[in-house]
Amino acid sequence: MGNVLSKDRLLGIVKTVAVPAVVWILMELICRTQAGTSVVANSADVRTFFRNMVSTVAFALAISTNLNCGRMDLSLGAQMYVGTIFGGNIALALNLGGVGVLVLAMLIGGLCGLICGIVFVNLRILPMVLGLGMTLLFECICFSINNQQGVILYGKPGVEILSNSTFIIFVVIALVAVAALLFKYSRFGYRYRAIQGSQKLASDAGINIFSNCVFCYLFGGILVACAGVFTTMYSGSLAPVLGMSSNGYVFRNMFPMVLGAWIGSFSHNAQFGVAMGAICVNLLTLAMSKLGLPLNVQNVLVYSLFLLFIIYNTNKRKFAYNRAKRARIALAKQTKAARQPA
Amino acid sequence: MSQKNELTHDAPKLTLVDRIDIIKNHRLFPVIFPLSMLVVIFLIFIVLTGGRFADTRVLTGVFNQSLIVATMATAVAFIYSTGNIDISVGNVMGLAACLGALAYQVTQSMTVMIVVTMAVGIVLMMFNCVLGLVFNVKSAMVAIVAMSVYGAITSVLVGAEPIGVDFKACKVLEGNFRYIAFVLYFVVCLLAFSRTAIGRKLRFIGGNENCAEQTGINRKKAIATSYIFAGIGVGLAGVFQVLRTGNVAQTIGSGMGMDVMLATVLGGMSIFGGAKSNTFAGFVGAVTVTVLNTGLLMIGVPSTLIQGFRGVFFLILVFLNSERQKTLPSRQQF
Repeated sequence: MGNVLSKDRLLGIVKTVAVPAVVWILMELICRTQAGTSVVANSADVRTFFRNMVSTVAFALAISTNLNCGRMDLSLGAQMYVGTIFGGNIALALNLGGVGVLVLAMLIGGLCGLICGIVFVNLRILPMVLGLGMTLLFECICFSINNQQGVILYGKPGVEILSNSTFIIFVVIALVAVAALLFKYSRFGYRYRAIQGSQKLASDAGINIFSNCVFCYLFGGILVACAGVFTTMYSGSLAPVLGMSSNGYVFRNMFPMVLGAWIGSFSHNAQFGVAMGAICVNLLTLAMSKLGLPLNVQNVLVYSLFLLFIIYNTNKRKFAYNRAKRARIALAKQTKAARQPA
Repeated sequence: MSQKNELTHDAPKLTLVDRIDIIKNHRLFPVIFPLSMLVVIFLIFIVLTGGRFADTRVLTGVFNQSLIVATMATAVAFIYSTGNIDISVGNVMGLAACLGALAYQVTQSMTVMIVVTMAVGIVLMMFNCVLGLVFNVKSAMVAIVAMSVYGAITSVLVGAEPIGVDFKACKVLEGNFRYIAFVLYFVVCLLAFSRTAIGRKLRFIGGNENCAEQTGINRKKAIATSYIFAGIGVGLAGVFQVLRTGNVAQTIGSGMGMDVMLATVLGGMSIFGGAKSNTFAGFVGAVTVTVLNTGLLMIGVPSTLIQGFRGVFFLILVFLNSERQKTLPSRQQF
């Protein structure tokens, strides 16, 4: 029995890792035949890939934190702006270097998440609606400080570590490990899953659904701020926005999150799955850049794939049922034909 | 008589919270509350600006500014009432306006521009609807994908230079045509939603989908109808947008879906739909947002802080207008 279980587990892990591997092979083939180059051809590509990946992993994990409990937090993008701009500027002013920028940003991002969570459990208005209100507030705060300059990391001393591939890999592993420990192997995670099943039953069983929710928001804020630091490092600066434009980050990271949830279902580890989903989507975008496709065309292709994936994911049971039905009919026809006298 | 007095004496007394809950649960509360808030804000700004806010030019400006969002918010009320969400309406409007402007460039006819914009609005909304109804994809997810795809297509079609439409022709149509078209659409929506079986079915579906289906309502047909109504409104908003600016830029409609949602919720509509849904919530919400923006600017609040004020006001108003649940509100949107 134990062997069977471990075999299943091993198979699940292999399947989870196989998805990005298949995507990479496909993209490599397309790039080699169409553009005559590899998806990841040089050290700049490696850096770009890792930097995008860490942002995507952190953001997608942050979205899934609340979304898995039926709470769509639209203010995550704005929390990212507040965390990165405030944390980044304070850390730069104190000469704390790249790690200082990251830590302070995550602290302030967490504070934003905490505020959001506390407001949510007290007002108890719909999460999506609360997200809109908090987005308006956070964006305004970002825009009003530092002469609307945001944060500039380009050329600042001590922040080079944020571009270091080894450091980025370390951060990705740390994020996924902490998230997996928290949501899969801790008392918090146990309660989180109970709430995911039924909030009412969990509450009746004595679980404090409110503190669990606040912690989810807090963790989401920490993660998005981390994503914001690496996004800023990649682009050099982060300028504040108004008019709920920050929501774009939430929508952009939905694909890796949803794909990750599907991949993670093989190994029963959603966090690991999200990391794999992020790798898949980043490989895809990197390959499209190599093919020289304009950004808008890339968007159309990525989101069309996203749509096809959702259609498949939503209807997979129906497809499986239809397949089984066809097989049953074929078998019945075969049996009938075999029984008929020659 | 004395027995009655005894009975009333023994009955538990209603607390203030209970009384507030009774008022909040009244069927007309979602209608009256946002409207009275709008009136209160309006009066406050009149006092604070020394009467300047009641000037005809200011009022016309407020109406003109809120017209596009109000049209789209009225349109999406049909979708929201069924419990579905569509935040892609801004980008649908953008793409519809873009194709309408391109049609104008080919034919040099304003009529063709209007027809194409409206038709594209309906077709795109129906496409969103089909994805939801045929492939069972959640409407919020469809909207996220549609937003990005339509936005990208609009950017590709428009290119670096905005697509121009004859400005003189736009100005001719901008005045009365816009007002008449909006009022007509608004009245039709209002009647269809509150006085016909269409609205009743949609609200029923929003309240309890299974129950609605078991009473013989064709869910798919009713939802498709809601998207058609929404498509007409979104197409109309596209026409208004072209008439207002005389061109179509690359970023047209981006972020407007969120503005529409904000206006709808601010107007007293629940994004979960149901019996308390109404079509004029969007109009009230859109006007409230514009009144707030204009009023705050007129009393000298820095433009960078206005959004923050709007956020605080929005949260307070939504809190006052919604029922506080014992557990946390949530819904599996995906």
